[in-house]
Amino acid sequence: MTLRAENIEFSYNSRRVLDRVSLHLRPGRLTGLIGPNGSGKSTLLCCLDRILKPGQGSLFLEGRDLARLSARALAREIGYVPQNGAQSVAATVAEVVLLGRRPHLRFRVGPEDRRAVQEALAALGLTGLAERYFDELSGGEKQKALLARALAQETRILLLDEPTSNLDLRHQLEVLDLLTGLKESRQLCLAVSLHDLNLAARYADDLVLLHQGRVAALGEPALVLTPENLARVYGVRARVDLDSRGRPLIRVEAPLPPEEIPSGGDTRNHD
Amino acid sequence: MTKSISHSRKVFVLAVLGAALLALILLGASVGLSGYGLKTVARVFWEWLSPAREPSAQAAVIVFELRLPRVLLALVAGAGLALAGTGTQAVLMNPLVSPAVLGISSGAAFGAALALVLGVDILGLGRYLVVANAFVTASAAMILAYVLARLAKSSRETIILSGIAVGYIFSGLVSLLQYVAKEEDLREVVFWLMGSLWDAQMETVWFLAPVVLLGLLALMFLAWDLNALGAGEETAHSLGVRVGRVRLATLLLSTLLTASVVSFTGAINFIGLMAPHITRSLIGSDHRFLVPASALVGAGLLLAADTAARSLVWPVEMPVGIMTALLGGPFFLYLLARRRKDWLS
Repeated sequence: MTLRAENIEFSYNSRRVLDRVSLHLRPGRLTGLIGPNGSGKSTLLCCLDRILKPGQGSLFLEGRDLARLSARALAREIGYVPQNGAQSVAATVAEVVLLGRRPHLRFRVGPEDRRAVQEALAALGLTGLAERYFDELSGGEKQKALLARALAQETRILLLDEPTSNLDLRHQLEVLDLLTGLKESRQLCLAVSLHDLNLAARYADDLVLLHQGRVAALGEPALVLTPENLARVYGVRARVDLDSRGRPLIRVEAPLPPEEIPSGGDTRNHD
Repeated sequence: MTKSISHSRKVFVLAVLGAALLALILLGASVGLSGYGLKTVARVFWEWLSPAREPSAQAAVIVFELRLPRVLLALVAGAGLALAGTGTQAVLMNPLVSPAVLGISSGAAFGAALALVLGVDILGLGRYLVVANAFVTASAAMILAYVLARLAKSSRETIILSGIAVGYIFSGLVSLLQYVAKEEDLREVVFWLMGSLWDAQMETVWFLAPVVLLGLLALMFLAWDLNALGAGEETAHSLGVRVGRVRLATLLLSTLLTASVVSFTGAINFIGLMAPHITRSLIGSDHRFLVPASALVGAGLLLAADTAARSLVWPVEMPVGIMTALLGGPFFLYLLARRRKDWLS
């Protein structure tokens, strides 16, 4: 199962947030979406799941046009984990995870649904918390519960919006290790937006660097996370070393004064 | 650490609510001027259930023809208002919302006042003039609020706000009508605004029962979608819920329920807000259980309030709308004060 986006455009009112974004998600690979605040990462994830309908461009799921799929069929193929999983209604962890079965069931919860929920809870070590209320959990536990919901949905494509943003160091690594494990064991397609460039460099197989709604660079982490790209997109002076596995290690040294930020990446000035 | 309510306990709570409702029905049917008490009424029901025995005629007539229509009307009206409240709270993701807040009740009041004061008959239905008018203007109020909010490409907050604004406009119009009304018309309007079940007839029950049943089944059918909305709009989308359609369908359904009920009973406002809250604290927020339980609680609340309204200052009868506010308000505050859990946050 692969998901291909071609020339996606999206505007909020008249402000263009995504401009001709193309990318390809493949099984068994974690694609990291990086870029400064407001560069369009969250909007892109929402467009990939058609939570927001792109104004232009196409999405293909294994060659089929995504727009032709029913809402339920789509929800059986693509799972989405929002950044802050605000739960407006008091619900238990088990109830939150069971919601992931919504695309698969009509009214009754069947044995297959119960199995999927148990497995998802177990995969994230939440079995003991199943009957606790979601809003009583810590940030890390909440993040895991939302991930468990997406796992119970049993989709082969998973889109995650900043799954590590509310977590302390240890939980960040735990969640990303877990995603890596799932990616390999279940051959999932993962698209994950990340704020922390070093985490992105360490865990992503491919990176998509977004800048003002456009793809500024795309490819292996070592090719994307270069001092030039970081200067152009983030406006910082950074040193990039390679670790023993050839992954980039970024040390940000200073913000660049505005006149020293290269404008080459801001293609908006050119056309 | 709070433990949740298990599945079997939810089934148990539903059963207890059902049993409590049966007891309330018996109690409600035992209050009246003719002095047939609990024992007689229980015997009448028992004889009705076992056809072998000859029913004791006079008591049976009183119970079935005078008292039962009123009890049944309280049940269907209460259930309808509670279902409407449960639906609107779910799709607008706001615990403070009820059909009354959204202007539906004010809309109904305007239609009724129009009929009572000016004799304007919107649908030309003669005998059901007040009812038909109230229904038309109540629906118009909700649709107006929804369309205005949609025009602004709105969020759910805008729907709530425009509902409140439309409600104020209709309230203003009702006040205007009251101001120009003749003395005897004014009395009728004021009485309608209090809400009461005194004119209960089986005909009304037969009209409302299918509407309420439709509301119950439709909301049960949407139970998973309503649950998904509790996790936020984006998540609901990603779980395959067509949020816009579910929201519109539920709001229309709630309008139909509220407008149908209040057009017959007058403005009974508090049930739609109170019943879903009480029910959530009993059974949790899974709509597969919340929807039917809410209907039972709403039916019970209105029947209890009406029974109290008929018996507290016996033999004088009070409009039930006064009772739901005077008894329901403090009861609700008590529940708010002692609860441990914010069911909607």
